[in-house]
Amino acid sequence: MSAHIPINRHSETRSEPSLSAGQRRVPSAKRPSLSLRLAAGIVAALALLPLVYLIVRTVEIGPEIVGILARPRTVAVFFNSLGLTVAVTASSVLIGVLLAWLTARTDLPGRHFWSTVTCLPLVLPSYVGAFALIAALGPNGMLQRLLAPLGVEQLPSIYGFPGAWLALTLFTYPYVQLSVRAGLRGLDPSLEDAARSLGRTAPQVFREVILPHLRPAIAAGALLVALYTLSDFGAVSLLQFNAFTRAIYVQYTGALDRSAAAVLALLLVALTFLILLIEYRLRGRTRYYRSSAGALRHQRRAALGIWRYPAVALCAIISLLALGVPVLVTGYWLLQAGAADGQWLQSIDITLNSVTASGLASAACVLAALPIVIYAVRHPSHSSRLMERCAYIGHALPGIVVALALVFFGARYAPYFYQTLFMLVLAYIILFLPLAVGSLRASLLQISPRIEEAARTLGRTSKQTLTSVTLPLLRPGLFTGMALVFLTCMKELPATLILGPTGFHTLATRIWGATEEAFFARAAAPALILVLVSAISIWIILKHEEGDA
Amino acid sequence: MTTETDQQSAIRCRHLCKHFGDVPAACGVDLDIESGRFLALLGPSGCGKTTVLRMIAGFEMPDIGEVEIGGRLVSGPDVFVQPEQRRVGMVFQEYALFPHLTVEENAAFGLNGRVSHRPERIHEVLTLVGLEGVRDRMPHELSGGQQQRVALARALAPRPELILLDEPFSNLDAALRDRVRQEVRQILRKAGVTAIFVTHDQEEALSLADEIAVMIDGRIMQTDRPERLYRRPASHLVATFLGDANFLPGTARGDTVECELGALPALESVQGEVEIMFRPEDLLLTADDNGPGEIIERTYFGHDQMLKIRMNSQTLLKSRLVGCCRGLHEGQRVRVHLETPVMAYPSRYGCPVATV
Amino acid sequence: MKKKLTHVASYIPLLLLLLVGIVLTGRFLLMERVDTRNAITIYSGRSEDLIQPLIDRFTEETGIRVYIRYGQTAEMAATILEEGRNSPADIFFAQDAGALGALSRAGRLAPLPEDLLEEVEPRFRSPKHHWIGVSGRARVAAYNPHRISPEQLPEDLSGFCAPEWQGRVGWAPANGSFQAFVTALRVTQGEEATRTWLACMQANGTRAYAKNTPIIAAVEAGEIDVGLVNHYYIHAMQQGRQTTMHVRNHYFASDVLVNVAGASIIDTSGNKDLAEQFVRYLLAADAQRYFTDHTYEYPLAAHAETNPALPPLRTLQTPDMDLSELDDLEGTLRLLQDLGIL
Repeated sequence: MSAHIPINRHSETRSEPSLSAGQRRVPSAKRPSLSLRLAAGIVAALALLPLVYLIVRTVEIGPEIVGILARPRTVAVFFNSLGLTVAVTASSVLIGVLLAWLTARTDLPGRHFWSTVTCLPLVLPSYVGAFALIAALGPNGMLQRLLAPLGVEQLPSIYGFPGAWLALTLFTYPYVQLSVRAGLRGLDPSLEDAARSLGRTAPQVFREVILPHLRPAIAAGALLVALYTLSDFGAVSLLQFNAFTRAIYVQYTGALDRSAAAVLALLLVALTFLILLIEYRLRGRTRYYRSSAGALRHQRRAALGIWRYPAVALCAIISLLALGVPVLVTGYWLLQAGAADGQWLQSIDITLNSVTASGLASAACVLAALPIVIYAVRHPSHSSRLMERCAYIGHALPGIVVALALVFFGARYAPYFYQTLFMLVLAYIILFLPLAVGSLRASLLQISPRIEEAARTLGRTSKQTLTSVTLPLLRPGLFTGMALVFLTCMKELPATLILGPTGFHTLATRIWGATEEAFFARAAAPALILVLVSAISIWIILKHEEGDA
Repeated sequence: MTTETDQQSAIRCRHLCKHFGDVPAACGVDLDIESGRFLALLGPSGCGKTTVLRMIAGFEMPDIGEVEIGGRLVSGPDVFVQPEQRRVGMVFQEYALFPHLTVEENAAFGLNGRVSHRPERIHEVLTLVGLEGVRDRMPHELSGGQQQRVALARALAPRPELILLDEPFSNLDAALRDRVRQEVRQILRKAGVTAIFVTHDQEEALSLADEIAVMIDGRIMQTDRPERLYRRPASHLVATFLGDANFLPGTARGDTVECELGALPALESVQGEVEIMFRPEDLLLTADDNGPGEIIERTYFGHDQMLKIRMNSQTLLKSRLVGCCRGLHEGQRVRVHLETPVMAYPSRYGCPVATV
Repeated sequence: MKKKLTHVASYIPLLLLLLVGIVLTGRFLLMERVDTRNAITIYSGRSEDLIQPLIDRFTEETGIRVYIRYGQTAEMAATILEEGRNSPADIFFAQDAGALGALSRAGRLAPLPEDLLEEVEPRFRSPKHHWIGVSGRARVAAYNPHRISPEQLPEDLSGFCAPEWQGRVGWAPANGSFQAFVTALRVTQGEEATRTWLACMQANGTRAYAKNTPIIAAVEAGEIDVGLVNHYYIHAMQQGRQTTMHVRNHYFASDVLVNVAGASIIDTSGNKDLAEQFVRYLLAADAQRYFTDHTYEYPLAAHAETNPALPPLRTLQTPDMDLSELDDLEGTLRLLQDLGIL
C-alpha cells in the first residue's frame, strides 16, 4: 500500500476550512455600500417620522389608551374601515384587471381611447369626485330628475357604505389598471402559446397562466388602493360613511384631542402592517427579468366577438361615472361663472404654485425612493425589506396626521424650514413615497443584475454603474413614479393647507376654499386646470408604457 | 511566495472557500493558470463553478482563501479589490448587453464609454469579432451569435489581463454553437488573452481548453490537459464524469494489474487491491462462438457504435468500435482484449461494481 | 440610423423635464420668506373668498403686511396647539366660537384689552377676554311662502316634531353650523332634552342634506317646506341668480343661536401690538360694513349697522350661554352618531 497513487493534489486539501483566516469584514461587491445603506436608512427614518410623533403623543396619556381603544365606537368604526377597504380593494381589482386586459390584450373597439380615458379618474381629488357623485346620484340629483318622469320617487341612498364604496372604487381602480397593464406587457406571449398547445381554452389560459403571472402586479396595485382607502377622508366625509379616518378627524377637529387621535392613528398603522404583510405574501418570489435580451414577440390580441358590445358598454359606464360626471358638474359650475371674473388669469399663478410644489415633490420622491428600492431589490435581507415596508406607512395615514407630525417636528426642531416649500415637499415625500417605490421596484426587477456586474468588470465603480447603466434603464419606472407622485400631490389638500408657505395657494386649496363657501363657480376654473395638468402626467405614464413594450 | 512559476501565472487561486449560509458552494479551490492559456472549469450544474468565477471577478467575497491576478493579490485576508479595479473581462451567460446602448457604445463602455475617446480600439475589437458592419444597431436587433460576440468585444476592448466566460455557449442553438465556439477560440487566441470559462459540457471543455479543471460538489477534483485528463482521470468520479468508462476489480503488482481480462499493463505503478479503469474505445472485440462474452446491446451512431457485453462472470463491459458491423450483432459471443495500459485506483472502499 | 434617431428622441421628455426642473428650482429659491418686521401672520378658518378683500384693505390703510394661512377652523386650531411655543401665528381668526373656546381652554390665547372688548356685546365675546366676535350668523328656519305662511310655523324648534311636519323638514347633520347649533342645545337644554328632540326629528322623517345650499334649493323647489339653516345662505344664493327667489327666513321668538366668527391673539405672538391693530380694524366701521354688505352676516360692533334685509340684532333672543362652550363638538358628534343621524 505504499505505492504512490495519482491523486490530484487539489483534492488533498479537503481538510476543514479554517475560519480563523480572513474573517475581517471588507467591502464586497455583493454587500451594499455604506452610502446606500445610509441613504436608505435616512429615507426610512423620514418615513417613520409620523409614527414617532404618534408614539410621542400616545405615550403622553398613558393608561388611558386602553380606554380609548376599548370604546365600542372605536371598535365598530375600525371594522367599518376594514370592511370598506376590503370591498373597495376587491372591486378595484376586478375592474382594474378587466379594463387592463380589455384595453391591452383584446380587439376592443377604440381601445387606445379607452385606455387613456379609463385611467383619468386618478387625477380627480376625491373631495371633487365625491361631490360630483352626490350631485349626480344623490337625493334630488341629476339621475333622479332624469328618472322622475318614469315615476321613480326615490333612489337608493348614496350616503353611507354604498356611496363610499362606489366613489372610492371609481377613483382608485386606475392604480390596479396601470400596474396590471405594465404586467401584461411584460408577459412572455410564448407562455400563452404553450398553454394553448397543451389544450387549454382561452379563458383557462387567462385563469391558469396570465392571472398567476399578474399576481405581483395586482398585489402592488391593490396595496395602493387599500392604503388610499384607509387614509381617505374627503370621500368618506362627504358621503357620510363612518370610517376610521373620520373618527381620527373628530378627535382632532371636534375635541382637539391630539392624543386620542394618535391612539386611533396608531391602530391604522398596525392595520397597515397587516396589509403590507398580506401583499408581501401575495407578491410571491417572482423574478421578472428575461434571461436573454432577445427580441420580444408581438403579443396577440384576443378576439372579443359578440362580447365587444358589453365590453364597450362597461368601459363607457365606468368612464361616465368616474370621469364624465365630475367633468359635467365642473362644466356646469363654469357655465354659471360665465365669462366674468378674471379667474382664468388669476389661476395662472396658483397653477404655477401647484406645479412647483408637485414637480419638486415628484423629483424628490423618486430620488428618495431610489436607495430604498435598490437596497431592497439588489440586497434582499430582513432589514432592507423592513425599510421598504416603512416607506408605506405615510400613505396609509390621513393627510392631517402626517401634516401635524411635521408641524410637531418642524416647529420644534427646524423652525427655519417650518412652513417653507421645503417642509411641504417633505410632507409629500412621506405621504406619497410608495407610489415612487412601487414603480421603481417594478422597473428595477426587469433589469438583470448581470448587466450591472458587466459594467463593474468594465471598470465602473458602483456609483458610476448606477448613473451610466441602472438609471438610464430605469427611465420608464422613474417617469411613471414621478408622474404618479405629481398628480397625487396636485390634488393633496390637508398637508398643503397646514404646511405650505404662508400665503401659498394651490389649485387644490383654491377649489377647496371655493366649495367650502359654496362659490362653486369660482372652483370651476381651478378644477378644470387641475384635471388638465394632471392628465398630462397620465399621458406620460401611458406613453412610457407604450415605449416600453 | 514569489517563486519563478508564480511570476508566470496569470491567475492563482489558493484554498478559495465560499459558503452561502451553511451551504458550502465551493471549498478548497486551487487554480493556477499560465498567461495566455484557456482553462475550462467543468462540472455538473450546481457544483459551484460559477461561484468560483464570481469570486475571481470580485462579485463574491471568499470566506477564506486568496486570489491573485497577474501577481497582484486582489482577494485575501484584509484585501478586497473591487471588481472594477481587477482588470478582468467577463462574458455573462445571458450576455448582459446594455439594452440602451448601440453595439459600438457597448464596446466602448469599458473605455470611458465614449466612442470618440478611442475610435481605433473600438474599430479593432469590432473587426476582431466581425461586427464592424452592425456597430450602429441596438442589441435586441442582433442574432444570438452576434450578441455573444458583442459581449466578447465589450469584454476585450479594455485589454483585460484575464477574461471570464460563464457558460458562454449555452444560450445558442446546437447548430450555431459549434461555429461560435471555434470563432470565440480564434478571437481569444488572436487577442492573446488568458481565459477561464465555465461549462457543464465535457465536449466543449475538451475541444476548447488548454487545461480543464473538473469540479464536483464544490471541490476541484483534478486539473490537467484535456488528453491527460481523459486518459488518466485521477479518480473513479472524474473518470465517469468525463466520458464513458469501464471499471473492473483487480490486483496490482507494480507495472501490471491482474484482473478478469488477464494481466494488463498499468499506466502508473501501484500495489494491492485496485479498481482498474479503461475507456470503451480501448476494448477490442473478436467474434468467437466460444468467447467468454456475449453482446447484449448494440447502439449504432454512424461514425461508431457502442456495444454492451456481458461476460460469463456477469460483469458488464462497454466497447466503442469505429466502423461497421464486422458480424457483431446482439447475441453474438465474443472474445475481448485490451491493447492499451489501464488506470488503477486503490480500492479503499471495496470494489465498486461497474454499472451499465 | 432611424433607430438611432428614435433613441435620441426618447430623451426629449427627459430634457424637457430637466428644463422645467431648473425653472421650478429657481422659483423655489426666489420664493420670499416670511419677514416678521411690520407684519403679522394670521391663521384663518374663514375662507379666502370672504376675507382677502378685507386683508388687502387693511394693508393698504396701515402699511402692515399680512401673511395669511387659510384652512379649516379646527385644523388651524390643532396646528396652533401642535406648534407650541414656536407658533408663527399672531392671530387666529376662527369661523366659529367653539375652536376659539378650545384654544382659550388650552391657554393659548392672550387677553384682549378692555376697551376693544367693549365694542361688542358681552354675549358675543369671551368672558375670559380671550376672543372677540366679529360677525354673527343666526340659525333660522327657511320656508317657502308659496306653500306655507309664517303663521303656520311652530313657535320654536320643538314644534317640528309634530306629526304634521313629517317629511317636510330638511337639515344638514354633517355641517359645522348645524353641529354647533346642537352643541348649543346640549349646553342650554341639557343632554337628554337634546337627544329626545333629535330622535323625534329623525323619527319624523327629517331629510338630510350635505350642506346648507342644497337645503335652500330644495325649499325653493318645493321638495321640502322648511330647512334648518343659517340666515345668510338665502341672500348669498340670491346674488348669483337673475330671478327672485321665494324662500324666506323665519326667526324664532326665542333661543335663536347666533354663532360668531371671532378673532383672537395667540399667546406666543411676538407682534401683539400689530395684531391688536388688526383686531381693532375688524371691528372698525369699514370692516363691519363689509360684513353687512357682502356676507349678509350680522356685524357685531355696537356701532355697526345691520343689513336692512335682516331683523336687527338686538331683537334676536339668543340663548344664555358662553359661546366658548361650543367647543364640546366631540360630545355632539357622538350623540349624532349614536342616533344614527350622522
